[in-house]
Amino acid sequence: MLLSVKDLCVEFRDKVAVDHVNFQVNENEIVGIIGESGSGKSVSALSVMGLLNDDAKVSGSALFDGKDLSELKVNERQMYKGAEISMVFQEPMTSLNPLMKIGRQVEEVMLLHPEEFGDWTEEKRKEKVIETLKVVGLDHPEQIVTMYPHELSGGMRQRVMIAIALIGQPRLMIADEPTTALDVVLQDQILQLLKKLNRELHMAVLFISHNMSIVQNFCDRIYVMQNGKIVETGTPREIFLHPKEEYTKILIASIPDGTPREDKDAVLEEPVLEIKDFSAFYPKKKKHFYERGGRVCIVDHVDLTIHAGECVGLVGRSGCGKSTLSKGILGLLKDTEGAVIHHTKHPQMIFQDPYSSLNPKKKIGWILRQPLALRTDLTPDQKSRLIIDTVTQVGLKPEVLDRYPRELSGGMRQRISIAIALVQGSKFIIADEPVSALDVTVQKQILELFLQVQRETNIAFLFISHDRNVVKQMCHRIVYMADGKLSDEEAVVD
Amino acid sequence: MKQILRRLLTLAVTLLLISFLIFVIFQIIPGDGAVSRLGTDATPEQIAALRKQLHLDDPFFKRYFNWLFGLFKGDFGDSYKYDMSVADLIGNKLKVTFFLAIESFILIVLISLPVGIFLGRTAKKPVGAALHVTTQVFMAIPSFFTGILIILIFGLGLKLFVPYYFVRPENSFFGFLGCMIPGAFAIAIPKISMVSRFLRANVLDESRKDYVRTAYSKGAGEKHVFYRHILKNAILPVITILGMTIAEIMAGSIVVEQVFGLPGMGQLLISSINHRDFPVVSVIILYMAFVVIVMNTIVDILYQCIDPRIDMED
Repeated sequence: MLLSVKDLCVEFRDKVAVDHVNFQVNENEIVGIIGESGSGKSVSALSVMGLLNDDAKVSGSALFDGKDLSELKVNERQMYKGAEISMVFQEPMTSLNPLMKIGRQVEEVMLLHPEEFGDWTEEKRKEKVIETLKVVGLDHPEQIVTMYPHELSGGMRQRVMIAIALIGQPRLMIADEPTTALDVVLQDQILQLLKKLNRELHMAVLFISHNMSIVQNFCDRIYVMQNGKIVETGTPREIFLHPKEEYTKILIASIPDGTPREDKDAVLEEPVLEIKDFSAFYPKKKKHFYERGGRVCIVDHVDLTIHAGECVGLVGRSGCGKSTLSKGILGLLKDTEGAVIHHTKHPQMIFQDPYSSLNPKKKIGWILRQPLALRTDLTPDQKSRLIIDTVTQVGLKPEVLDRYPRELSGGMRQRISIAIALVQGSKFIIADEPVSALDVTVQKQILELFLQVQRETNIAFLFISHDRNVVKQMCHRIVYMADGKLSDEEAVVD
Repeated sequence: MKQILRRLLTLAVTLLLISFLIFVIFQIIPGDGAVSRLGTDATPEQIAALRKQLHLDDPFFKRYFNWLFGLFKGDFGDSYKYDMSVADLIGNKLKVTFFLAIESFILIVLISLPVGIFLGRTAKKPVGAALHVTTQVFMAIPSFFTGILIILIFGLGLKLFVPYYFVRPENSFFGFLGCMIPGAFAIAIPKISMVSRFLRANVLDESRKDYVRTAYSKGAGEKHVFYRHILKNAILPVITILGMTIAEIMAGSIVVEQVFGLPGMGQLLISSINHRDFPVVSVIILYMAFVVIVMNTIVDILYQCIDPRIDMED
């Protein structure tokens, strides 16, 4: 057995984050820990790694190769970090030092472990860096070593992070949601890379995720965590086919399975939105200050009609022009060509994380009342009643009107942004990745709310998402976007 | 290179704008160089004659361009008040103010960076907290008062230097630099407090960032993480702040010169403004603007050399 965690407890001030947790990782094994946000899965990983802040109270033991990590002195523990156990983090965009060249950041691991690499010459280290960058699938590693993080894309940065975690030849790699911040195609590539490294280099992987479908195909063994405790463990087969715990069953039932909605072929009513030959441009970066500015085409001659009560899915990779198109529909862009014709009033947008778009200093009641300020035909009493009705309609209690956005959970905030659209009587809503920041169980509830709201009010949706199963389940038809162009067929992804 | 050329162009345009602004302001404020020189007893004929001699009756733009071309040729004109050329009048005083500012800037850089680093590293310890409060006190005391305290404690009390003792640069350059050090401290101390507090805040900010966690996960110790990763990121914004203090140092030096009895431009500037002595005032102000802009340009270029995220060609 490589790693054996016994009775691990972690407390922050008065809050118990991890509660008597036991788990094991064998040599060459891929072990998954799955749970929703706040279940303690990341905290467990960080405590194995010894990366928790000073204000965390940790008890229990973590035996690595027979040695108790929790009893080591600080400098003894440093010998393990990077060389025996390494870690890949969730956020590749911020996990690298912005002022240090990539080559140096990868090489640093070797410099920090003289016990293993002390007799290596500089050339040998440089060679090893380039070789490792090649292993993680980066082209032109000789150029990449001289670049800075901001010159690389998110997927490339995550590969650099994996190279950093790999170069010390660790026996265990902890991967904390390594693919969550990446788009679907990149997700697949990174997972395949981790699997390959596991097989070829005999490196065990502790894989932490909230995504059930990834864990199912990727791990040899799975631990399910809830509220700081491990509630169930087993092979993916056991867990997914014969779940014992109620919580596991709920988790599995929440995975969007992509069954098309029943009323898929409903009769089309009159259009709410017509987009004709629409293009959108951003100004091109000027090379000389006296140069006349050019422009880059982001959305390229798009035609789309959305009918009342229809839900249209928009799928595409990051950077394909989805967000620009939705901004264009709402009239938020300056440089456009073609026509966007709205047949309804108050088109509304719902964002991925509504927290940043709800004014943090104002109570929910104020936020919901704001769109009604111009309605002179309603008395204040009628407005209040309308707001209370709407909040009830999206499944919240009227008490939330007295709360601030930060006091609500992600799911509740998303309900509020739906309520904002409903309260002004929108008939057309653009939802931009409205559930991708939410836990699976909450995600399911919000999707159900969307469907229910749509049936009751006949609102039309443009539903933007990268999760094909979610889109299939939600939408009457799907359009695919690539390089600013729309098509009804999905382009083959290489 | 292109970047630096563009900077120089901006510098020239800014100085031109400032020269015009000074000229316009001197037209607007009431008072007259000729009247001020001849005093209230002068007859109208005397004043008219002097105005003619000083070309004060010429049309606005003619006077502006005459003056401007004079500047280009290195002819700063003659003082209205004293019968001397501005160059002779300012010469040595300029040296005092310039080196006083340079000395205080060097002190700020040399002291505030180590103090800021110490504050950042000891933020959670009582020493750090105590020093943090102390810097707040020093930041709040204006520099002329700090100057008086320095004279009292270190000059009259501890006898570390002789107050109001001044060495001319032509006699001994190092003696000249040395006798200005107490004044430089008076200017620098409030700025040192400000800059080191700013650095401390940046250090604490950067310590919470994700790349710091990555560095720890590589097996780095606390010292390594601090000096190799956090420090460079934390110092970057400090460079901008240092550039901005230069303007404040110039302003501070005018007051501190009075306190320490240094024969700098401060006294001259104030009296010249009172006497509407346009040639003198304009040269002093243009000079100060020049120093501030040049230093800020240097700071900007330095910033770009350190931060790879800023594209030199943009």
